[in-house]
Amino acid sequence: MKSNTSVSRPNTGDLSPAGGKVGIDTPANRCVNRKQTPLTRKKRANVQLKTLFKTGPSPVTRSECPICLNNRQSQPTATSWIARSTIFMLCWALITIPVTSHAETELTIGYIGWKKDPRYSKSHLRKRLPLQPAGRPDVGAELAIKDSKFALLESGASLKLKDKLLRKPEQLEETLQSYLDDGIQHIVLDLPANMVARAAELASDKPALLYNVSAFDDTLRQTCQANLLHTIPSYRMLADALAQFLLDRKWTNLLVLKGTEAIDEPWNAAFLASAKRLGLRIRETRDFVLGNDPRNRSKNNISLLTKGKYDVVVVLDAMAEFAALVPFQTQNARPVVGSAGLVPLAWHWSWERHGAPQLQNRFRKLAKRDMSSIDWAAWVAVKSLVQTIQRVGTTDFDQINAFLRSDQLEVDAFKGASSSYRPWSGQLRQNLLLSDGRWVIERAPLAGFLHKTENMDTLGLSEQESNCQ
Amino acid sequence: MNLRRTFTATALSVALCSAAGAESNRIYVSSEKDHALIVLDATTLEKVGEIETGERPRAIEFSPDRSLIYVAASDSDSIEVVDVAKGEVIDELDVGEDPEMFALSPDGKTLYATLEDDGELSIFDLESKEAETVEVGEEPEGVLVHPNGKFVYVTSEEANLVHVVDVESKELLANITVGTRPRRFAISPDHNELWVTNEIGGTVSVIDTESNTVTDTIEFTPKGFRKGEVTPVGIMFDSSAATAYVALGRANHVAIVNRESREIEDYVLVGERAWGLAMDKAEERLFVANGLSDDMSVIETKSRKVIKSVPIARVPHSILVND
Repeated sequence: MKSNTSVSRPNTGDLSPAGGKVGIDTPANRCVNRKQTPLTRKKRANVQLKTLFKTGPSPVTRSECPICLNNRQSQPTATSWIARSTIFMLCWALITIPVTSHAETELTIGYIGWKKDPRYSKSHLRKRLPLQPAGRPDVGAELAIKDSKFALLESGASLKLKDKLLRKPEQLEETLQSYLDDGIQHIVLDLPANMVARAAELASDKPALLYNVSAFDDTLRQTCQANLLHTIPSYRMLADALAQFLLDRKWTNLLVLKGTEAIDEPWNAAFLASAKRLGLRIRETRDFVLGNDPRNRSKNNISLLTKGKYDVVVVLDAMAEFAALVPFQTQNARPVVGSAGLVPLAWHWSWERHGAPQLQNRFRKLAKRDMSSIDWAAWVAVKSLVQTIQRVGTTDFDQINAFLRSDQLEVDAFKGASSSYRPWSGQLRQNLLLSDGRWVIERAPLAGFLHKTENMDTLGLSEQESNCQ
Repeated sequence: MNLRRTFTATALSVALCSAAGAESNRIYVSSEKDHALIVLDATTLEKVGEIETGERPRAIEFSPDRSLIYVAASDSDSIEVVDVAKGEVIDELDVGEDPEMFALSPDGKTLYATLEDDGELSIFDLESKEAETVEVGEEPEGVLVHPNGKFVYVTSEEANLVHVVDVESKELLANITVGTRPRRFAISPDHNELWVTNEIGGTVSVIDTESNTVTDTIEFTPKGFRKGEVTPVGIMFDSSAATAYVALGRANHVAIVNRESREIEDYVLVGERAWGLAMDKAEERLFVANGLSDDMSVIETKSRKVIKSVPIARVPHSILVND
């Protein structure tokens, strides 16, 4: 039973600019501290932090600062005042120059949404449907920026967010271009799938990373475009999580109800592939239509739609509006899963492990609402960037780009495992939560669903299935 | 149900009144979801009582003379004071919201608690009952007072940092970048090394307390578990500092590490999601709180085998031994 250990060294443990122990009561620190006026506790802590970590690489110079030494020497003569002033100016320059030259780098993250995105219409938001937004997710990105203060201390970086809501889809190109012209290299896309695809196309050869936080379509994960990342799970990931749950419960005979609009197709295709992979039997697939037209009863009447023999109804509805009506309206006493009933999610407020309540509380404080899957996706996108800057110690795009997409990235997704981006699809691997809307019933991947290298990769398009190398 | 409660109450009073000093030879385990300290006989490991606490009791610590137990009742937003002889809560300390872990100064006069929700370290004067706070990275968790009483170490789970807080100036002396989601600490008895568990990173960072730098990173590979399933949280040294014990969380094992060589000498299979660790005075038995199987594993340190598994209550968090 010996060993199995691996010891690695070193880490970038020390934050002291000079590599020595910081905060020791050196003449340098006393010199700087003497200039401070009394401050409140928090302000004092901030000043101290700035003093310690943002002052550049020349503490030796400051420790030799003559003004400081002079303070402890004999009374000044009148003639020495000019000299003292000069020394003071020089000393001040020595103290301040490194501050400005090592001034923190401000990195702007761009957010792009579309004003008329139907997922954000007032009436849609009001319904609070699962897998739908609860409000604009830029607040998730904002939270990650707010939380990054201490993590980014050593790198000297600070983040800020620039928001843009497109009035028309055609404005996408000019907005992207203006972001790129302004040197914005990290762009959060909160757009429908077709617009994400367009943005990816426009930025394909640009030094920028795009983070898709709200489009579930698997085709976006097959573009083989290295600078397009996805933090929101794909439909296929959601479908795999659901299929694992159904197989685990032995509810293997399925009635599938699917939407007939183009936006419903990707969810349906993903579920078909998952069912096939895990050997679930789809007894029948029926189209539904939202409406009350009696001539269209066979498609809009849930009782008629749910006739027959099956273990469970799987309703696949991109906007979740029809799905919301299905539970308890089925002809047979059978559970409903998919877009209503038990729904696979990236996040649910009731998740109470792995620090989730703290994240939830911080989000609630800022946004005045619970965190949705899409909010979470925007938060984790920025968090992955923060983690990268913390580890590489710079805001240099090439270094960030290389690390962020490598297997060295360890993002704490607050779902109990370390997340990183899949190289073949740019998709953030993650656990998923199966929720009935009230509680998290299961976390996927479920126990027993194993993958040869990483169990989270049982969710979503595998490397073998991918078109990309 | 009532009968059972009556029985428990009777058992408790019998236990408390039976002999002077009956409160020694006891093990106390906090139960996050039953809002109580479960009291066990340290020899027989039988349950002898239950002390009702505030909501969601987590970290527990003795006062230096062991007459009191401080209990972080996270959801009651207080640290409660249990009179060990009386077996009940006698005071509630308003240290700030949602305290999870805490530590006492060596003189027992100051209590340092991490406030998870506010990203603060609370410094609570036990005499004046007044609290001061220091802003630290989000989700502070582990807190350890250097035995010299001058520094407090605090982990920030969110910022992957260990803060070194100067007790006197209340300022941050250093922020040490460690692995992902740092949780708890153990300091070697010679005070030279501070070990920190990184829950999501699945590692332990070894910090040299002189230079405040990470000098080693220890990885764990218990058989049958992937890297992502290894989530170390609880950690302690034996008194000789020859051995460190690390509870590996979801990997359901306790790792036994040779401090000097950093080699992992053994992995002992315990219950589910092992976190809290404690040892008896003779260091013959290591007690492990298993949060997701509601029990406590007892490891015989000599044979490195689990000799008993004791049902506790819902979500056992921390263990104190007074034998």
